[in-house]
Amino acid sequence: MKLFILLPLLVTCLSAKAQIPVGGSTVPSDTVQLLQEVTVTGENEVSERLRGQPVNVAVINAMPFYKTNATALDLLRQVSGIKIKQSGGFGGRTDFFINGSTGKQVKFFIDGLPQDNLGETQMLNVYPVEQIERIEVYKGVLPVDLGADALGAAINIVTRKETEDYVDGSYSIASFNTHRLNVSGRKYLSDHFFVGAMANINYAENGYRIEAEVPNEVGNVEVKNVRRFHDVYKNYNAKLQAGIIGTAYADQLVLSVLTTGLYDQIQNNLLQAQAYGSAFYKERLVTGSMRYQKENLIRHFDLSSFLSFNRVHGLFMDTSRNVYSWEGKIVDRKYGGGEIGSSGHALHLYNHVVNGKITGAYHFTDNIKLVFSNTFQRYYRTGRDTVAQKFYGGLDYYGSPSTLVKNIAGLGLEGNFFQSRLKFSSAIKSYTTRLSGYEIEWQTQTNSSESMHAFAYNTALSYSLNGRFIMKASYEHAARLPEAEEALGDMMLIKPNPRIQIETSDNINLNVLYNHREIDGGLTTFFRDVTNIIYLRTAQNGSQYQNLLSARVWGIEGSVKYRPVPAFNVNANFTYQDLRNQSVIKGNGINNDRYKNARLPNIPYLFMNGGVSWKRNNVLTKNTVLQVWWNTNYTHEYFLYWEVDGAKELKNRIPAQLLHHTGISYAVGGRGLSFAFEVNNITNAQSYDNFRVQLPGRSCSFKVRFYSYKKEKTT
Amino acid sequence: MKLKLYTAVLICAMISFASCDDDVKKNLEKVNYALTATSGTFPNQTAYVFGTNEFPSGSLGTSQAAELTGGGMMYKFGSEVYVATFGEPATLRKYSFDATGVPQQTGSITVPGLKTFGAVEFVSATEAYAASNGFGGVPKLVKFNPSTMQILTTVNLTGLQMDGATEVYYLGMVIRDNYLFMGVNYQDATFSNLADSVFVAVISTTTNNVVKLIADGRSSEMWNGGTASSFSPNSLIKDANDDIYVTGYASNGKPSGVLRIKDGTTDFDADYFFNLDVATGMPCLGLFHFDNGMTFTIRYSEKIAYPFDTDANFDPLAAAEIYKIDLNAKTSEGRISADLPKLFGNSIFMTKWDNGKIFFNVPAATFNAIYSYAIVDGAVTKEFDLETGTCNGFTKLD
Repeated sequence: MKLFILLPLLVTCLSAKAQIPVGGSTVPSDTVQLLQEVTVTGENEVSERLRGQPVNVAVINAMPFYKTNATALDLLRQVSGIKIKQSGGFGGRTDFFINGSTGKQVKFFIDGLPQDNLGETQMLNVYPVEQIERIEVYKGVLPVDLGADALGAAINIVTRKETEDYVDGSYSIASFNTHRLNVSGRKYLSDHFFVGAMANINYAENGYRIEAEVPNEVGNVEVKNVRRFHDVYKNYNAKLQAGIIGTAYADQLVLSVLTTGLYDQIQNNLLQAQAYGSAFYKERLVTGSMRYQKENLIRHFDLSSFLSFNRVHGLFMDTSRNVYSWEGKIVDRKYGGGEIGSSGHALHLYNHVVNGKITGAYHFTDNIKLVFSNTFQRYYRTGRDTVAQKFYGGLDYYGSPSTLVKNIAGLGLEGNFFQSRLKFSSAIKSYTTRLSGYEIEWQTQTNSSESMHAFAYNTALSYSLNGRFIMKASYEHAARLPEAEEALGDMMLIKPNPRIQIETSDNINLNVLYNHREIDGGLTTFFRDVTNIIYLRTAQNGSQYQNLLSARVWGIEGSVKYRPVPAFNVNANFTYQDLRNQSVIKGNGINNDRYKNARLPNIPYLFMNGGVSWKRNNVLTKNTVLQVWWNTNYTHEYFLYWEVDGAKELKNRIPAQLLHHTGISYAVGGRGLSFAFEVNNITNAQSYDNFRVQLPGRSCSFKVRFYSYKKEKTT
Repeated sequence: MKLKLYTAVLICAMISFASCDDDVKKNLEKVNYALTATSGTFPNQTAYVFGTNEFPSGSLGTSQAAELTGGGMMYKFGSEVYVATFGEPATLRKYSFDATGVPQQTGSITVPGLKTFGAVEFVSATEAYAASNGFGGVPKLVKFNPSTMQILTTVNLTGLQMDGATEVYYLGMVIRDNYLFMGVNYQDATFSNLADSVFVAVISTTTNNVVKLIADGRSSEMWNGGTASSFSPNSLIKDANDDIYVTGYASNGKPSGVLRIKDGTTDFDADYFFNLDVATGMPCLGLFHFDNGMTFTIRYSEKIAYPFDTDANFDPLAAAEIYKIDLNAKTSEGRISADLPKLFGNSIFMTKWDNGKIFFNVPAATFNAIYSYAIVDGAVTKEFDLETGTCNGFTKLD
């Protein structure tokens, strides 16, 4: 086991010692590259520019992965400081851990626009890599123009925007009856006007085998190897675009219409102890948006803006009274309600969301600019549930609307000196929200509303030393406003909490980056002091979000990539994060001293990745590329509950994971066909991200892609 | 002279032996005491099961404890401990202990579709009953063999459904004659009491059928679970005369109180009602009754905390006290000690295994401990503290 962990590191060290000289060879941007290259590289101008920014950001260029079967999650998993816990196979719910931030503390953006309250169809676990240009992972300070109340971490998907005609199509087939089809293209009808389309369909049966406890006729459980039988996930995504670029009045003016949908069968409860056979969730999103961007709109002033209207329709269906065993058999019937909820549900939820964002930048000089950004969101929710309504004697808990209005304004100063060796940014942000909703108790509806306001501020510095080293330091006082569900509840199971407070965090990041010739590496240490963490507190008489925890986080992460020769690449990274409880909750019967400074449970704290790849050009025929790679992920075991409680050998734990993946790809030229074959979890190891929730075993996939492009436009 | 000497030695020896209570006679080669406790701070809390050779003292930790996955309710029968964990599927686990106090799971029964077992009542080493919590589940009463941990048969409880009831809870059990008496609570669409009555199901243990459902409107509703084997406030208890006493919860203008099902009958005794609100001055919750006739109840000193142990903002509020009451005289003797802090009432349990002391837990706002109540003079003494959260069960193993 340890050999697999140490191998990539050992190879790295040996390779570093070898100091094989290389020339200044470059790699075509669309050459097949692999997961282990998910670090900031010098091959991409945008990546390089972001890398030099004072904020701590990792950039993943998605283009090299268009030909592989990698998902966006696969790409992110290779970045130091990020751990993703997934509950199940393709499409399964994901939880992100970024430098100690998790849950709603981590904000998601698509092209810089927050994705709060827009449902699940655009989440990273299903977002097609082929539609992504790059993924930016911010750890610590967020740029002012991102405009969000994140608490120290954010992920921004930047979608693909080629400046040339292209068509891109791919199909992949994988284990567990998984199929993925993606097509996209863009056509320039003139030098300044284009139309484009992006679409994809995914289908996954997720019928992988697990070890499950199946009760026999006398109620004794027998562990059996069973196939998951109700875990189909399918989704689609279709986007049409038309836009103007490179004109006197707009660098970019793009109109988009997007429709997405998903269907997700629910296979089990949180601990994978109870199988379900009928419940499912469906969702559909329709979006219309407009994006405008112009540099030097007036002298020294840049402007960009975005406006979108979104409608999300979710349907949670839980009407079966059947009781299923893990063998897929109906073993009993309930007297009423559904498989999961006591009332049963045919719950339709309708969210109407308006997002608007405007960003302006005034350049005092070539080196100093003032940036203003304002992000606005209005969220309106209503719903109906005829099944639950009948169960509850005609009372519709979802009938009345709830609204949330949020505004985030930021003002920042950015500059660079000494031939851009010294860069700084500093910003202040103002968050305002107004929520209104209602609660029903004893058949009486009570309307409630509240307003909140918070300030956040940050500053960041970077200094480039002799072009090889970049040193960064940043500090941020971050704040996160409670979201609609946290403050207003869900009108049925979660009670409103009008006293809920804003989460805050003080974040410090220190980075050293090194990039010279064949070596690219970085070392980061981070510190967070988080207070008023919002948790859902479950109770017999109704759950409620409360400010329950404070924590201090310290961590270190490092990464190194070594390319001794152009054809060979090895990389490794590690993350250690130490999250310690600081809560002192008085008066609830808990001995707080026992848990103060104790490690927060159920959060991975040590994980690392490594990989090697080898590439050869002109195999079989000219202008081809053959590439082979191997990646390894390791996550150290961690406890489900507090380490200080219970006998060590009898504690519930999420066992250590050591997973190996390999693949081979063959591409015919920069355009044309490419093929990839991959095997994930080669050793078929039982793996878990969540306690007892088994992840897929060994899986194989095959992908074929066709890509073609025409002349490059000059804009 | 020698006779006097021998007599004195004999008397001294007898006194010495007589003063050795069960605790001193314990076998240190085996585990003699078992506990469960809730440990952790939110949102990561769970239950722990462990045993000790000697009667605990000082401050007790969980370093020898097995960790469960979530909360659990402990039952004890003979030398075994049983824990019903919360969450689907309903599972009842049986534990034995090795010589060091480490628990070993020696069996379990599981019923898919049930949320949890709400009450477990033991008849013998080979016969016991476990009732599901009825909400949204399969309405079943399971008869099982606690020795082999195998389900023997099931009792269909569909007949206990009531029109308009959105939630049905099966709460507490007592077995007498050939009947199992089981408390039932019905909630309506607004999570309110469906009908202001205390309901008890009468189930034949010979035919495994529901015989009838009896109701009494002098108190508002059945609330707590608990059985003779559990560690929680009981809603049904049986005294030495085989009379069954049933506690009702105060709500909708009706008081908390005790009803009776007299020996030989399967109906509420119309001539008996013990109004606990009047006797103690505040609403009460549950009963603890012992074979020496002593009975206690949990009295709430602040109505807002009744019965969830929370204040108006849903924050924890400890406001309960243990009161000694007399079921026959229908009187209260007041709180058992003025020195005890206010407690979280739903977590209180009392247990007794000899004629010297009744042990009870003290789930207070700032600490958790096990105390004793001296049967002879009512003296209340702290026995040991818990380093963790609330104690969910403490017992001496046979």
